[in-house]
Amino acid sequence: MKKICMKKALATLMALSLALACAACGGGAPQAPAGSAAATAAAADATTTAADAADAADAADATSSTAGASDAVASDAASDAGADSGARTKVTVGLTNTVQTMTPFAGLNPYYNMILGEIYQRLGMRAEFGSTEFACALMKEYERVDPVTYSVEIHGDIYDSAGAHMTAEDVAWSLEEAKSIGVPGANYLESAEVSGDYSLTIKLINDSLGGFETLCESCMIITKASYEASSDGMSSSPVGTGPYVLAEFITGSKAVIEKDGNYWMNKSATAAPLDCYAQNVDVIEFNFLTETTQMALAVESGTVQMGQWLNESIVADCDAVDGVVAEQMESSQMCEVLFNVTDKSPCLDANLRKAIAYCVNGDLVVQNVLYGIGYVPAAMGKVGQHGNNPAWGAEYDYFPYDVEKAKEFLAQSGYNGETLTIMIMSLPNFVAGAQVLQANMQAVGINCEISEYDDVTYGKYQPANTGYNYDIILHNMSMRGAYLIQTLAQWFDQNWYQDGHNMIGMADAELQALVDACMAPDWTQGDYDALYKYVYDNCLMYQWYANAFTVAHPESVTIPSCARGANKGELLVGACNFPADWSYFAQ
Amino acid sequence: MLKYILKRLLMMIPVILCVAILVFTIIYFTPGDAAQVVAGQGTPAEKLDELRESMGLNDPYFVQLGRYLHQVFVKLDLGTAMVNKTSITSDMQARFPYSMTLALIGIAFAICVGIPLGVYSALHQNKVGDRIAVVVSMLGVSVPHFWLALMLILLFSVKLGWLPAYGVGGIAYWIMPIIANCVGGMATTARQTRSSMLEVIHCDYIVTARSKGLKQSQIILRHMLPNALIPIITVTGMNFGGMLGGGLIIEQIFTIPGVGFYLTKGITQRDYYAVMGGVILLSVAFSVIMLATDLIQAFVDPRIKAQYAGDVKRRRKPHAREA
Repeated sequence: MKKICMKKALATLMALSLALACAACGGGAPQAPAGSAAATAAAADATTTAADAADAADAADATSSTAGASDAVASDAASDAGADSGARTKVTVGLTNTVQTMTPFAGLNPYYNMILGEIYQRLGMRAEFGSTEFACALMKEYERVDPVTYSVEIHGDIYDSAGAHMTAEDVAWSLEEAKSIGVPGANYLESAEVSGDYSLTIKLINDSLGGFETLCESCMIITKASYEASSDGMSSSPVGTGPYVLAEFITGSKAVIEKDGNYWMNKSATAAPLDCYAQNVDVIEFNFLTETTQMALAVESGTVQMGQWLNESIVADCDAVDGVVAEQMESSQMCEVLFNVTDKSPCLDANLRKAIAYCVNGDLVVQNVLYGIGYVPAAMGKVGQHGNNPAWGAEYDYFPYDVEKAKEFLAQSGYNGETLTIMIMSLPNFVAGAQVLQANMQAVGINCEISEYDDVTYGKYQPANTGYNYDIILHNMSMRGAYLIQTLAQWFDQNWYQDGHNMIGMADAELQALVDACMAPDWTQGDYDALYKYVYDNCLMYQWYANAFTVAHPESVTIPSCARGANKGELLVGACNFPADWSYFAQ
Repeated sequence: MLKYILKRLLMMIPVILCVAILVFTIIYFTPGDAAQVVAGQGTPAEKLDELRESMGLNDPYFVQLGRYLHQVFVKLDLGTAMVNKTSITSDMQARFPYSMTLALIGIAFAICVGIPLGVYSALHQNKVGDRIAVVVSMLGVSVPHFWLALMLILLFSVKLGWLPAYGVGGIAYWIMPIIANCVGGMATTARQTRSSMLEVIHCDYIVTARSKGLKQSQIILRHMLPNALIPIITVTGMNFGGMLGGGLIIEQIFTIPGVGFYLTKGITQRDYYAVMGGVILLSVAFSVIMLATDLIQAFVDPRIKAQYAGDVKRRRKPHAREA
């Protein structure tokens, strides 16, 4: 009897556990996001007197027994109220990484730029992602005096959010400060000398192509007075000249920015407001959701209206939510296959390199590694960089997946069955990609093994000529910079490393001459075409697949090209277009 | 007692020093380049050399270690984070209260639920209630924190919409993280309480107490529990430390900006200085918790108190003879 009781109790307990797990796993009915057809209809239904809204808010409070839940429900109710009372519009954005400081000298991390790009401004930058046009922001105009000297004039009516007036001294100080702190890109600066209240002379360390543009894009400019007034170097209390100001910041959890009513560009006599600095929504709340599952749940439940830079594994789930679209946009990230072109590796043989390039099934990688979120490039390079030629895609057959051709090149090569080592960073995408590559190579008869490295040690072992043993590298490269050669130089410029070899181990005078021509201030498109041809003919590098920048957002929200930051394609939420019936409001 | 506390406090110094040296040494000898973390991939070798020189990374091991220890223990400065370039001390000041809140409330729940459950289980040994309690404890110990956290989110946030899924704010934000964080500790406490209680439950003095006609509640509270408490206190102390340092997964899932989350970010970003700062802080916190545990044990158990008192008397005796 006792045993039977025990068994029953145990069975009941197990059943309860199962029920709990099932209940938890069952998908909740997704909440239609603001601006979607469903939400619009709901908003219309709920019309819409202030009293109704207040009732709704009361009801919401009554149904939710907790403060947190009431936050979520009350925001819906408040939205109704807001629609009538003209309350401030708000959008909640999920970021897949954290922003731990608001300092203007944090560098070019795209996650930081999504927030800090709304608070601080630069002297100038490329107008939008994928554009080569350089636009002035704080600068009124600039002139190239000689290859290393630029004369810059800023607008005379720039004020930061604390009301401090910006002068040329502030610009010079900001640039010097960025350089001393080690902000990437600021190292192009030799000196910044003030020549007037609003004018200064910027000297670069050399006449490196794109140096001035990179310097301008990399350095946030602030007023010295506001920086010195801040007790923590603006880590938690930023004061910039941008269209938004920080309202709340909980390190590692969330940041709330709101429209600056005194934004200088709206009042300036000389500056025309830039589209990327638009204030299309009053309040933007960034939630840092580093857990992929949390992000998916937040998008599904409507807790966040926009989920930025989604992990590929959750894109389909987010896209399936009613009224939400997971928009894939071009990112600056590109995965490359690089070869060890030294006598230490069989990859010194160009035919073997071509055999590998042809045997790689890029589509398979995009489908299996990136869940279909990405694409196989038709040529090396990215749009939006000087020197990139869109005609390359049509002109050259960019190593399409062709097993027969791969076998032909393999037969022509001197490959004798050696086991090639594929070196990768120990990251899931690289591991999966390398496995596909390994399978593809073995299918045509090339033996290989995968060697994983931590990303720090990976960087150390990268240069081919330093004696480390690898044959192929898979590398993710951010194709940023105003000029294509700024990216390619990292692989092909022999001056990059002190031993006179480039990263793939070559000391080739012909290649270096081509690189130098592309890096010269008087470069021509012909120089880039010649470099492309050399790299293609010798198959020195093969751009394998490109990641996509995916944003989940309500169907009614549109993302114009100006909302993409030029440097890394980060999204500036304030410049997105929100519908007139946007039903989320700040409380 | 004061001397005992002082002695224990002094003993903490070498422990923390050893932790700092150990962490520094491990990170020093780990392959990788701190300068590259700061400068980013693709930085020319020349620039990296300059940076290494300016960061003092080219100095010998002992010089770097000495500089770090001086900075941490003399200047009380944990340094600057390599990636974010923020003061680690300030970061810790901002984040430690979150971790402490999570751990403190978690351990309070673990005690409040775990001990009564263990007592009940021991008093009803081999009965249905005991079996259920044992199974529940077993589940609590074996269920992974992160899984439980995700299940709670799915149920209470997504399905029922009762609680916020992430972030920090009012009480509602803390409910799920605390449950997910304390279930393991609760189960461990219950299991330890049960076994400790079973050890004392059949002792002669309990039989005597019963034969004297004392109430069951008096027997439990005055005779059983105080004698069973020592191992429970030890386990609770360990649980507290574990919750403080081990809450990093919970902090990450619920986006709580605590020390654990900071450490996780530091590890993934290869921010060595941030990791060192976090580990040192947690080791200090753990040492303090262990000290508190020992003091509570001395307070609760007259034998420990007597042992200490005996030690003092033994030292006093020779002086008395001399006099």
